[in-house]
Amino acid sequence: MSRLQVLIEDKRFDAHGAVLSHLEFAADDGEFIALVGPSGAGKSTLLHILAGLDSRYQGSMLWDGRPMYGKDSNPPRLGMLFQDPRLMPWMSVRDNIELVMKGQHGAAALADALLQEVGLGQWVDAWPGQLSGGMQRRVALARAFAVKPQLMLMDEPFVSLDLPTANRLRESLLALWQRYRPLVLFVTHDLREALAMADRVLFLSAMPSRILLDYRVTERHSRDLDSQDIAGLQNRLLAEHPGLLSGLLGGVEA
Amino acid sequence: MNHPIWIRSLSLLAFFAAWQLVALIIHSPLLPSPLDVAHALREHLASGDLLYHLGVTMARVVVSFSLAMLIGCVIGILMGNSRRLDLSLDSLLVLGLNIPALVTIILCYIWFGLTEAAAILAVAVNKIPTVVVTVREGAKAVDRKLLAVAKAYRLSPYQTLTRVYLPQLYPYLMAAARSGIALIWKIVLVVELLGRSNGVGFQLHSFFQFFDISSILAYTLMFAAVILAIEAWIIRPLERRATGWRT
Repeated sequence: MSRLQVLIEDKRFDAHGAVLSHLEFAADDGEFIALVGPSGAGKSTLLHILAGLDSRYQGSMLWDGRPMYGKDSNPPRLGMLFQDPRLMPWMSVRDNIELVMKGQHGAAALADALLQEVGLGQWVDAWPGQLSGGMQRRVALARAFAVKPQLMLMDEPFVSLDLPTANRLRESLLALWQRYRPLVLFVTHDLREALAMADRVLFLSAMPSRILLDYRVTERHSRDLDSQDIAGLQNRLLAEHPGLLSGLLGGVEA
Repeated sequence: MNHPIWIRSLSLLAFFAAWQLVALIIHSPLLPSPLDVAHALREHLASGDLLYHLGVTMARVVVSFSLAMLIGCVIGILMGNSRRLDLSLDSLLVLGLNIPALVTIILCYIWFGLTEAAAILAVAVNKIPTVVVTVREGAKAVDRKLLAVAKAYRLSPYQTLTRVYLPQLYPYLMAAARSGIALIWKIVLVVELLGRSNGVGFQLHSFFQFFDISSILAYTLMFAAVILAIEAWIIRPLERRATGWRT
């Protein structure tokens, strides 16, 4: 039995058609899974459901065979990165991280160690407003790992960053993931990013979304988005399934 | 000489000088000079009555202020979070905002007697609607995205309230507190004048009947000084602490 089993039978917002329909997948510890699909395919909606932020859907989500939320639930320790950093501006960087650790023993030390690890050792006492956008996302990354997550949900966390900053953040993420090995669900609309980061890519259809293709990434030698390796993977994949990304090519929407 | 304290004091000094001058020219018991007022102030301080009545008034201010803030915040937060409640209470709120303070005071005294509780209630009822309006604005402006963070990371309801929700409300609470102090002490004086046998308002009433203008001004100056001190040493530092991150 897989660690995480997801089946969303039906999810719709009031008076609109179904956003998600018969979306089903399973995943295990330590997997790094990318969710790829056209804009408006309900990727964020799916993550919100997985995070327990939205309970108005039909279906089931199981963690170790027990419901993740609701009665008799067995919620995993959850880390989450949103599209924006979402730090509390009135708390210092360290306090932002300690906040989600809920007073566990040695929280301050662990917070400082994590901030050191993402390269913000000098900034623990700063206000988030004093940091650049890229640095704020680092704090959000440290915060997500501070809870020692079993499940990590990431909603296009590196979108709208300049290329070098995004690349450094990807490196930080991979380093932290290799250390803590949470199950990662990483939403992106950039196929190259998905192929460079993930072991497995779930392609979503247009609305109502379901899983089109469950693709395992093999024979990857580089994690650089702009490498020949990733370009080759992308080309082969698209040659095999030309309709896969209808309207999506190389991360640029046509 | 460009220090803010100098600039602030300069206008006050000029005011007192002008006052002294006019008092000397007019030379009437109806306009005592600042020196006469200082003399009266010293006597009232020495006899102890000033401090006693001031203490009584301050106690009323503190109790009615706390009551108004507490009730106003609860209603304001609820209204800010529920559109339905907001709609159903909004007309009452507008009504409350526009009832003259004097009417509430008179009605409270008539219905509940000339009691301490009626006095406190009258003051609180006057202030609650303005607290509600301010806090409701704050509650509507609370960032749902940050609340989603709290929920995703499974903060307890208590942590969510104290560490994510209320800090966002803090500037609004401070604004409500600031205008609250300014409004409440004025209403307390009226309440005391109409139906209490102690407090600064009661004393002012007595002095009025004896045309003791010096004492009226002495009490007024002392009371204003206390309010200024509260503003400078309690409210402003609290405000600075709350907005320290906005740099």
